[in-house]
Formats: sequence, C-alpha cells, structure tokens
Amino acid sequence: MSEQHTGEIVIERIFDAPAKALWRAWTVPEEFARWYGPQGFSVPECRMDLRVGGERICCMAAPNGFRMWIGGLLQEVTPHEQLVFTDQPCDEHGNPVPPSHYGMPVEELMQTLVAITFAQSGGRTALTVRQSGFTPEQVADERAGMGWNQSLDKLAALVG
Amino acid sequence: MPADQLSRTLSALADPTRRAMLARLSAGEATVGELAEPFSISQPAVSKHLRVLEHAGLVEQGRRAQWRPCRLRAEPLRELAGYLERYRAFWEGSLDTLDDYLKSIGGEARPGGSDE
Repeated sequence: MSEQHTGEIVIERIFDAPAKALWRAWTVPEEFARWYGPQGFSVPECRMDLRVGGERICCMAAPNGFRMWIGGLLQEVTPHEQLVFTDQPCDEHGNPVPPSHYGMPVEELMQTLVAITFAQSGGRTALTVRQSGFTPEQVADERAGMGWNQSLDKLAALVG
Repeated sequence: MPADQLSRTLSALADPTRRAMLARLSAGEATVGELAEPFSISQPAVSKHLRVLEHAGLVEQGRRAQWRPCRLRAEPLRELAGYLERYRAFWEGSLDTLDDYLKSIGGEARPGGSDE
C-alpha cells in the first residue's frame, strides 16, 4: 500500500557481486546493453557521458523490430555508491518526445527520476532502484530539494 | 486509465500531508476534525487538502449533517498501482537479466577484478 500512497517505485535486490561490478554494469554502455530492458528486447545502442549533467541515452529494440529511445541527464555520479538520472522517452538524438511518439497513452508523464544506490557488504551488494517523479511537480520538488534549481527552467520548458 | 485521472491521482499524492491523510483513512473513516488532529495546520488547510483528494476521486465525504465522515476511495489507487506495476515489472525483469549477466562474467571478473 505504501507504494500506492507515494506514487513511486522502490525495488531492492541483493546481488552476489561487489559494488564495483554492479557499477560497471550500470555505467559502461556495452555492459549496460547486455541486461537492460524487458525479456526478448535488445539494446542496439547506448551512450553514457558519465558525469553530472552528462547525457545518457539508450535504444531498446523489441523482438518485432520496434525501436524506442530512452534518455536523460545524470544528476549524481558517486562511483560504486550512487547514480541518479532523469529518464524519459526521447528521439535518437536525445531530444525529449511525448510518450505518444511511441504510441504510449499518457501524455503528462514524460520525465521520471531514477536513483540507483549500491551498498556493498562483504562480497555482496544491495542494489536499490527508486523511481519517482511520476508527476512533473514532483520532479521539480525533488530537484529543488537537491539543489538543482538551475535545471528547473529547462524542466518547465519540457513539461509546459 | 485516462491520462488526466492518473495525473490528478499523482498530483494529489505528491504532498506528504495528503499522503498521511490517506494513510489515516486507509485505517477507517474519519471526520475532518479527526483528520486534522495529527497536523499542526489549520482546519481550513486540512479542508483544502481534502478538496484536492476529493477532486482526484481518492476521498469521498458522507452527506449526513454533523457527522460527515471522510472515506478512502481505493479505485484510483488501484489504477495507479497497475500503472506503476508496469514500471516495476520493467526493472524486475531487467534486474533478473543483470543477475544472470553478473553470474556469467563472475568467473572472469572476480579473481583480482579489473581496474576502473
């Protein structure tokens, strides 16, 4: 119920691998492409400029050939500890597009915020995926709270 | 679910006071006064939050005079849960594959590990 009351997703998973290996799996495009996306999908292209403000863009291809691009900007890059980025449908150049561009129904929901936390203990790593900001205002609040005011003008232009 | 309904639900949930009010109502009906109790905000402010929740269809208020209990309406929350479930399934599926992938490279990456 808590999830329904907050409008965000939190997934925790423990991997039998060090944080360093998980970090690489999330941040090295060739490695990321090996596992990201629904079963049966492939990731033919992926780029990541691994620094705060850097762009991250990824193409997912369905078994029937349908291609969809997802991208966003990195908001926090703390090696082996935390990775935060915005996530939204975009074209192959990283320009945001409305979800309807890919035949998705919900116009308002363009941009979410994804925070990945890596916590190693012994040889294992607890990974937490937190996706929030399913309302535009929520993304704005969270960004402001983390000192990302400079991004708000751009965000306003995106959601306006 | 229609986009505007989903958007209203999410907007209503974006505020911590409103989430707390919903959590209280998920335990049972309550009057406006009872809902206001845990918060250091005025009753008019609580009423304002209530109107947002009502507009989103998350809460309904009884019509009986005097005792007008507020009730949680679960339907929009169920619809939202269905929506979020698709995102959750996306990550769960990806993480399953990630687990397999890490196991497959475990042998080569583990001893000594590679540098940054």
